[in-house]
Amino acid sequence: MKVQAIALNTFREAVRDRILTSVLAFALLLIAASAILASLSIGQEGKIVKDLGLASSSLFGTFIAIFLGIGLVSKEIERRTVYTIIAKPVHRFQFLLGKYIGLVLTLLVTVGVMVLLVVGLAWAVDGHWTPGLLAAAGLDFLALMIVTAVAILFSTFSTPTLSAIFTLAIFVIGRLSGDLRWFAEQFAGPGLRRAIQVLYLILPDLSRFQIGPQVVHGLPLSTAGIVWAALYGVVYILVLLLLAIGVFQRRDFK
Amino acid sequence: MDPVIEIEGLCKDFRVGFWRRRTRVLHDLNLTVHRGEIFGYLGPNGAGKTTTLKLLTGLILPTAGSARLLGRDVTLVATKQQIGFLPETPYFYDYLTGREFLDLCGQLFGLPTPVRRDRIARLLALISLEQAADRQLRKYSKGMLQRLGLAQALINDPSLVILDEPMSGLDPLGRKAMRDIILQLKAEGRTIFFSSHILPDVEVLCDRVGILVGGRLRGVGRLDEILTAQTESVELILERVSPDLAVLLQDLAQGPLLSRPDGVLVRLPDQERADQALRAAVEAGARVVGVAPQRLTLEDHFLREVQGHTP
Amino acid sequence: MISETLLRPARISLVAFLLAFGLLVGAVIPLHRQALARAGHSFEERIWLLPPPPALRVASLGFHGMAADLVWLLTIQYFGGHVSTDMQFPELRRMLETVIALDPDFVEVYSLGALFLNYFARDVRGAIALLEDGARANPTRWEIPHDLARTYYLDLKDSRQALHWFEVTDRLSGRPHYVPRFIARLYAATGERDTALELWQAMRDSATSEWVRELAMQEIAKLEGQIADESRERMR
Repeated sequence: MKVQAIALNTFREAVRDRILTSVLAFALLLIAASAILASLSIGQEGKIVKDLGLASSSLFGTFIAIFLGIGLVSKEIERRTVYTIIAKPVHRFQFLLGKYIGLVLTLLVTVGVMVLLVVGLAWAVDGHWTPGLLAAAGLDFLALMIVTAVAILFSTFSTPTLSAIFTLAIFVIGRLSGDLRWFAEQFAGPGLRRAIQVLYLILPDLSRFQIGPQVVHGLPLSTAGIVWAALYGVVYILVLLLLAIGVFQRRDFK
Repeated sequence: MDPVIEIEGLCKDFRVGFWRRRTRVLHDLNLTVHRGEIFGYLGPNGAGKTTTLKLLTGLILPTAGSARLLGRDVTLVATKQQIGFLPETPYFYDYLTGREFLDLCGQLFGLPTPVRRDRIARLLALISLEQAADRQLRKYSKGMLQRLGLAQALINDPSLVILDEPMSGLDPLGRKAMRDIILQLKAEGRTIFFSSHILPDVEVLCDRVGILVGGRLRGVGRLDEILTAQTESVELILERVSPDLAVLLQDLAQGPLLSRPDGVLVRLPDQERADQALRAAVEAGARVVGVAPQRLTLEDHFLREVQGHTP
Repeated sequence: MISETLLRPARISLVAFLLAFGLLVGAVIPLHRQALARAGHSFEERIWLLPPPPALRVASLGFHGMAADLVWLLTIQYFGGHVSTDMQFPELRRMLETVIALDPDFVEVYSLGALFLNYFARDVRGAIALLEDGARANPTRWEIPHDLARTYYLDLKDSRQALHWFEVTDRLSGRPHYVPRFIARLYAATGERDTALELWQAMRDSATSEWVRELAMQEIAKLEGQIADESRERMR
């Protein structure tokens, strides 16, 4: 109940933030514009609308996740609004979970609207539904939840600027995972290859959550692959949240 | 008189500066506050008052020692169910309205909806914020925020109320209202522990005071005892003072006599000499215009304790 | 003093606005127009500056499909631009290779790209190479080996290769109904009359529509006629 109260409050804060609505409006505009761009092609409108649409919602979602996530805890500490919460009978982990769930809820609504627009545009262009789009967006959302958890972890002990840099770096490395490994195999010496392998195993492999290309090409989706990716995602999020709780539990609010 | 706050050997270190040097901010604090009393926690800036309050409310973890509130250790979350806390210069979520904010606080105490609704209505009336209740907090003045802060400290009907500089940001009307509320809380049987700079308010409100200087507690005691125990000089104002009387008076006063429009001012260092001076004056036929015992103010006591510490 | 009256706050503000407006009209807009006038060259410049596929792949942060789409749109623009001007497409092959490097599953690019290369850029070998890449990357799609077969047959007049690719096409689901017929005809054309005959007979027997059976019977009759002629020739 307390986690819920904090989560809804976090959601309310995000929704009342004018920056969020502006970014969402801009994203929707861009996605709509992709339909116009797609008309430059000779018959591949469907693919272009879906590719651009999914990429836009993913990127904008990530941008919002990082932008809001890095300040989730540090802003409360800096502005001392955290005093009001922690001085009450609320466990610190309840506070953290509430903030995380609140942000995830915000993203669900924001990205959800974007994805609905993409699905609608795809239907208008193709003339038929592509249900795989929802699966692709859903799996990508799990990757988004991972990035959010990374941001909140950094937020518990670092300044917003540093948190943004680190979270962005992990996002980029995470998305390049597959390519990085290929790169390592092709070019790197044994030492570098080892380092990249270790990095690959520890850092989140966000490329596992990309089934967009398969959906867009109409290729069959591997249910097992999706389930394993989902499991990986959930476990990774748990690890990040536990780390965040560990750090936050011992923090002095000066 | 069961203890509501029990602090034993409480110490706090901070890591300060680039080299993260360990600095002790609170030294072996021992303090007990009893049920139903108003305790004033005084001290100069940087003495560690706010640090103590944050330790009591779990915002900071102690380095050594312990503290118990209402018999339960401060580090436990359940302890805070019966505590109300008003932080210094309160910061609240400015995108919420006053009502929404109080509702959130109520939810964090686990209060059911009808209870919350009822208490919020009563508290808003108490702090005279009914009009502004549905305005966003970013539009509140400092005084309004302070009053709202008091409301959120009372929403759970606490038996112990901890206030950090409750008078800050309030105009004289606000301060009077706050004083009245604090006295009312005491009348309802609650215990109040607050830190303050404004000594006149403390003099009016507190049963006991303690002065924190450089992280060490000194001068703890009942206010009336502290002040009456150190009644200082007595001032006499006399007319028709003859030269002989003047010499005698100067001798008793151990200081010069002051000539004032309404007469001669004689400052006697204690009650005994004052009595002697009075008798001598009456016998010499002088006219007594005024007798004024100069009670030690809390400010004097405070300054003495603080200056006694600083080298 | 003159300087005093000139430097009064309101005056300064007015002068500042006038200067700004003057610069905008007199300098900023002309400079911008000059940059736009040079823009005609910039599209080709952009093409030349297109990074190699591995770098693009990394830069696309995992959004390979979208990056492929954007380069494909550039390709179409490039193609269209040169069709209406000089019919020279020096960068076409490189751009197509970039697109498929980013998204090997983009089937239409192989087909359309081969078309562009073959019929406009007169680069049959390039078209074949592109299609062969496509066949490797998309072994389950019938469209690509089908295009290969057609190209070999129509443009290179190579019946043997055409036959090979039609057989590959035949094995893939969704292939057009006429593919087995083409295979049979090609067998006949390359001298394998017996195989051709067998194939036509199989088609006649399994035909679901009348005109296919009639066509099969026609071809069978023709082939049998040719075989009979041949044996009569040998008998002489």
